Amino acid sequence: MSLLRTEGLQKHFGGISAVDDCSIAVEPGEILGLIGPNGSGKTSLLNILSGFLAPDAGSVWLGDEAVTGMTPVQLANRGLLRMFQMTRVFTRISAVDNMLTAGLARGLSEAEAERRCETLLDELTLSQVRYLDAGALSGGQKKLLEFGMCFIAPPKIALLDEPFAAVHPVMREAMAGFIRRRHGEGQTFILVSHDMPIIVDLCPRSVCMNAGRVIAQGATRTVLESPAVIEAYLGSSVGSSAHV
Amino acid sequence: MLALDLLVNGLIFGLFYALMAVGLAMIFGVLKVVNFAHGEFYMIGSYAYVLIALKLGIPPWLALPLAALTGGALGWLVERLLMRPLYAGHGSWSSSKDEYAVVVTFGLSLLLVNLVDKIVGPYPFRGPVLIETSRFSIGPVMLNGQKLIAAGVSLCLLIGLALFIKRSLWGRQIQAVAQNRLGASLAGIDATRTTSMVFVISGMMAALAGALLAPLINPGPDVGAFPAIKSYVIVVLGGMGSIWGGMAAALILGVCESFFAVYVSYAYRDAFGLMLLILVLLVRPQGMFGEKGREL
Repeated sequence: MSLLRTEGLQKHFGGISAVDDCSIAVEPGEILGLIGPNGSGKTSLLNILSGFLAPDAGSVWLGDEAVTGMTPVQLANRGLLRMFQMTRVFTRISAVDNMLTAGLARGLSEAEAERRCETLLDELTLSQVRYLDAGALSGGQKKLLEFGMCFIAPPKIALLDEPFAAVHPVMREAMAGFIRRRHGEGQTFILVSHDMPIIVDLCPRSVCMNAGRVIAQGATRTVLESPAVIEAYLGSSVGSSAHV
Repeated sequence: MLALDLLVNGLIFGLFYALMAVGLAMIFGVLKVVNFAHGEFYMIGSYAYVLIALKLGIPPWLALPLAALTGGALGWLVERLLMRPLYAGHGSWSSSKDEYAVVVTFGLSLLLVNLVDKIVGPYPFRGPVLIETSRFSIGPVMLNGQKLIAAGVSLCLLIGLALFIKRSLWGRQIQAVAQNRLGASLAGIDATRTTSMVFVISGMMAALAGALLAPLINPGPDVGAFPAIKSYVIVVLGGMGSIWGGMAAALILGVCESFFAVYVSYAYRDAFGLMLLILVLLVRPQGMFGEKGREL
């Protein structure tokens, strides 16, 4: 059974169809790439999956439970966690308290939260800055801290929205390494990114959206070579363009 | 010696102000809106204390927590019925929350003042004292028993609240929601429940302030107006939404007012806070303890 699946999702904003008849499935333990040009509906889909938007039609299933329209907190407590492109750490408490607060909120005991916090701080190379307020960390460190907050109580599935955007290459490799290690332990991800080399590297399977619709899905290389995907990113060929 | 007397009495008033203002700061912290009905939490607390003690014949020491519970219940109701549409659900008012909050809380303030005026009457009541003592002096400092007891209770409550916010799981969650509401939801923190808790605490604190001062102020329906204005001044002085800044600003305002009343003008004592506010904002627009700039 798929870990997460959608059936016929639709979301309209006025006359604009942000998500149109979208059906996807994520299998346990996979990293699914979600790609598409700007305005293709990726973030709207992620917003619906994570409870920030209610769909106009269609359904979302987490395992065998219908979770359509649930709030972000209800979904987080069921193991579906979302990370935004902009970091959402708590800026006026320390890095370690950020992680402990997230762990305790998701039901870990204090001892377990502290143990996992230590391990993650080491793995994410944040031990040196553990007692600094999160607001004083660099942009890359905040992203790593957010990974720590997300994985202190490992979710069933993590939705990562542009985690590598505007991040130094060294930090980017640290994040990619973290994702690879969690994937090796069986963690499931949806990864939204415009960074195609990273998508090819991390995601065996991808879904491409354009104008709210799924235009291709399957093995990532096959998706990237699909004429529909190339046209979505680059437009129609010069010869067929009426504007040229 | 007069200065010591003024300092101690100023700090005592500062504690009362802090008890009142800290709830307002917490509400601003978690929702980023101003509760214009905060003075009425104070008024309801003082009335609850007086009526429970005088009409039901319940001892004042028991009427005090009952008044706090009344304020807490009012806070819970206000959040549940009036504030939740502001942020909960996919069709919330969050895009125009400032306008919504101003209209709703201002309307609630008028409603509560007029309800009390019609139901209980427009005449001030005098609350029963917690302890019967005449004025006494400790060295150069003149005190009265009720004021000292009220200050002691306020101090204990503020220390308790500070420890709760700093140390407890719920307190950490309040800090998290205040610092990043969306991030809190993503971390699995129930921001709705946390907001509800903040309104209950805020209602209890303001109601307790009203109950503790009821024997000293003879509460009438509009008794909450001045404390509310002082609370707004304190919250801005302390740095919008900063609980620690609010507590410190309350103590500073209490002491400054005390000196101003004696050395400058007693008649303009209540206006002094507003003058101080203007002066501070000219120099530090973010308040005395606020953060410079805003997060995007």
